[in-house]
Amino acid sequence: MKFKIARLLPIPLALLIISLFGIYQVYSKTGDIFLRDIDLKGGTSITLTFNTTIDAKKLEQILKQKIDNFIFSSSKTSEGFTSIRILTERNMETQEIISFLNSNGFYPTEYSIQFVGPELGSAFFSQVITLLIIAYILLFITNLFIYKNPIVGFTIILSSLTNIIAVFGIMNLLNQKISFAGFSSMLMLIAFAIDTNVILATKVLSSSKEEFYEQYKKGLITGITINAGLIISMLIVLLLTDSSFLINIAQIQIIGFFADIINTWILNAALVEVILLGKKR
Amino acid sequence: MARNVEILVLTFAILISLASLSRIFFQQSWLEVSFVNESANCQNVKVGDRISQIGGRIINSLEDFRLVLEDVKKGDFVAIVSNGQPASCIAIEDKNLGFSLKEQKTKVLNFGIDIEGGTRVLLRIVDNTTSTQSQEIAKILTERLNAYGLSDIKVLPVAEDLIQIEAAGLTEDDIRNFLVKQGYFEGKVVDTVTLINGKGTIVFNGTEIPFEISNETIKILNQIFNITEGFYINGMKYEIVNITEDLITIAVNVFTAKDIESIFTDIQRNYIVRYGDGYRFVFTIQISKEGAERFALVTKGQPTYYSGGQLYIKPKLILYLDRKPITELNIVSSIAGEPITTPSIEGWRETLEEATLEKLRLQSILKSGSLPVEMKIERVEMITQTEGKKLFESIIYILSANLVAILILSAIRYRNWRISLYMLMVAVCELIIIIGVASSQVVAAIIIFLSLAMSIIYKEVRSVIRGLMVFVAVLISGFVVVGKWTIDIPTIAGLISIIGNSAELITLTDQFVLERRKRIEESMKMGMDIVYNSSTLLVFAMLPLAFLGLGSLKGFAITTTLGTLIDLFITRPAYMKLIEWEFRKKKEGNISK
Repeated sequence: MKFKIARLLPIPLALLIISLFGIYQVYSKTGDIFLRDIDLKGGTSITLTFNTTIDAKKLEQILKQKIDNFIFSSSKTSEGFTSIRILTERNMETQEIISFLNSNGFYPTEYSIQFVGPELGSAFFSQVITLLIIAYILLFITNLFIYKNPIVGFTIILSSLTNIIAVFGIMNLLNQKISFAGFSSMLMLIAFAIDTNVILATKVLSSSKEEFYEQYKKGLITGITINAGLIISMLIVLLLTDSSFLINIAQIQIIGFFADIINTWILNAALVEVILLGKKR
Repeated sequence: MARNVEILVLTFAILISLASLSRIFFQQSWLEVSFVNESANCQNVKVGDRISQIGGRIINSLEDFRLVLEDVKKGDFVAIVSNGQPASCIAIEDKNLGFSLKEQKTKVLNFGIDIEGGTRVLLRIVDNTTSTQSQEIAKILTERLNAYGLSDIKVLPVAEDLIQIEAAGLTEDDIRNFLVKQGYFEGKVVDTVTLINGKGTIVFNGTEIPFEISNETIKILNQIFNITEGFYINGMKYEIVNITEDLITIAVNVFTAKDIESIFTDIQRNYIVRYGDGYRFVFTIQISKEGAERFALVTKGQPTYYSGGQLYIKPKLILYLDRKPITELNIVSSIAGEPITTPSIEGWRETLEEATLEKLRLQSILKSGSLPVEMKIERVEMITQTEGKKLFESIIYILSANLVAILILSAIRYRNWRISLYMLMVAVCELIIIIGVASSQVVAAIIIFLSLAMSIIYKEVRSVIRGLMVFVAVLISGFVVVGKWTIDIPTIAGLISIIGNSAELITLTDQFVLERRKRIEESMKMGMDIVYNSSTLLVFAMLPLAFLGLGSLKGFAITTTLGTLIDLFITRPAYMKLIEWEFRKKKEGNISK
């Protein structure tokens, strides 16, 4: 009997190579494995709302006289207002910026600020990394307790790690930053990756050699339906919100759920197929 | 009846959640004292009291309060009902009873600043501190913000060296130039003394005391001190501010923050007047007896001079805040040597608005006392009400759209409208129960207790790891019982994840749909096994975040774990029951055919 799922391994491997390439690109430029947003790096973000139509390009040029290095983005709100976001790595006095804009004929009606000190940004980042490591260790131990099978524990960890690598890589290739909220989203991803992997593990571990592919197929149908549901719900989030917090979560989840389908139902399933079926054979 | 325990539990959970949420329609509003002027002459009226009647008239709104004040004249005795008890005030001015009111409402759901709008600040304590010290700092900051007149203030030490503040109306300028000011207050009598061949005299308690300067030292009262360290007379420390060949400037500390007993806010001692091209503000502080005596000792018998027809003593009283002079006062000779207890603080600003703000900031800092350590701003988030409202609306859309997505997905997948309806119903029930839990600590306690009771009844939990999972989940969920749950962005992310997790219902349903050959009991067991295993892994993954995580991570972990607990013991078993009925009916139908 030939291994049917293992033949598809080039697909997750291709995803892994593309993701690692995305990570390498950012790492070679910044020394980080992903593009950190200001809350993980430190800096200031100011969102200005104008209730009139403004010339965003002109505004950006004017701001260049005041701020050395910043990222500028503009969007239209649902009410037709213009919303401007200024991101910089240094500490800015908003009042100073607003007075400067006023003197140049731009009058924002509202503004919101987010400022994070560089030390706190780094502290949060290292805290998140530590917590992720602890979460993984706990996951592995719990897995051993539940399935009494290190292969299952290993595949669940492998799947969620490859999901995270895919998220980092693809987000990097799309030039998207990851915020602190995005990291919460990574944790959600771990949780969901657990769901699909548990289905796979429960199905195949309870099956005999003859039933392996039948059970795999059933698990695949369930898993894909679940991931499709989750992707749809996150697409809705992406379409319906202006909140950068929720957008970051949705982006990560969508990439993660797609990656999860490949990593769980091909990469992991192939490993389980080779190890378990090989042994059973 | 025992067979339907799952449905009964779900119904009960929904009913208590709805009952708690129904309070939204019966929200009570009342008027609460927000500020009491220090010169107010009131009996039984203090900040936080509920005021129901003033001058025999029932007060239901701020407009009612304004109308009552229209008829109040200075010196009027006005009867008040405060907290249901008789109280009274004597009007300090026309239309002024000496206190202000604000409207309050019973809050069924507590929304965070992400939704209600406001400012969140994270401050780091620069020096090493203990948790007692951070509690003390939090207290000072709360007093400072209260004195500043801000509402909905939450000051919370989130770590040993981090304090989080949430307040509506706090501006960026307030944070930088007011909130983090250490507020170290000093009142110093400063004098410049002439030196002849390094010798001079200081007047202390009316007596001239000679001193001599040589080689970086000062000799006074037969003692030698290093110039940089200053010297002591009668236990009071004199600093040497400046020294030249023929002049020496000395300063003696007479008042500190501990000496400030109160700040007068009556219009005679607390006012702003037009002065030159701007505005001068003045307010008077009450100094302790000890401070006043120190002032008397230092100023008694000092040499005098005439200026503008008034006789002054040569030394000046300079008031400092965080080591920067804020007021320089000439001392009239008639008060020199007297224990002066009410010095005034003066300042000048270009506009009336700036002068008002600066006066309020100084008063608030002096009132709250100084912070024992330096603070550093680590994080600032300001969210406008409009933005918060927009976010709230988009969340409602997202949750609704997610529910619709479940309905559509299940309809396509199963082509059975009853299954789709059950799924939708369970997802909605889950949402209601979670919002119900957020609305009341009592509901939270009941739901968690109910889940715990069910975990004992259901035989699926009879394994060490699952039992441990229930224990951990109850422990994490317990956070919402200890303190009322605030619905903020991390909670919402958790809610979305819980609704998204309704996809798990697909796993359960598939055990029946894809395993038609199996017995219903086997399908149920397999389905619940999957749900229990994934929930166990999820709860353990959330454990470090709930106890070690900051802010977003903690809120997310708590919401997700609570959702899992509700899933496992309240909604999923009920869904299983419904699906079991559905498939039993089908099987029985097939057999009878």
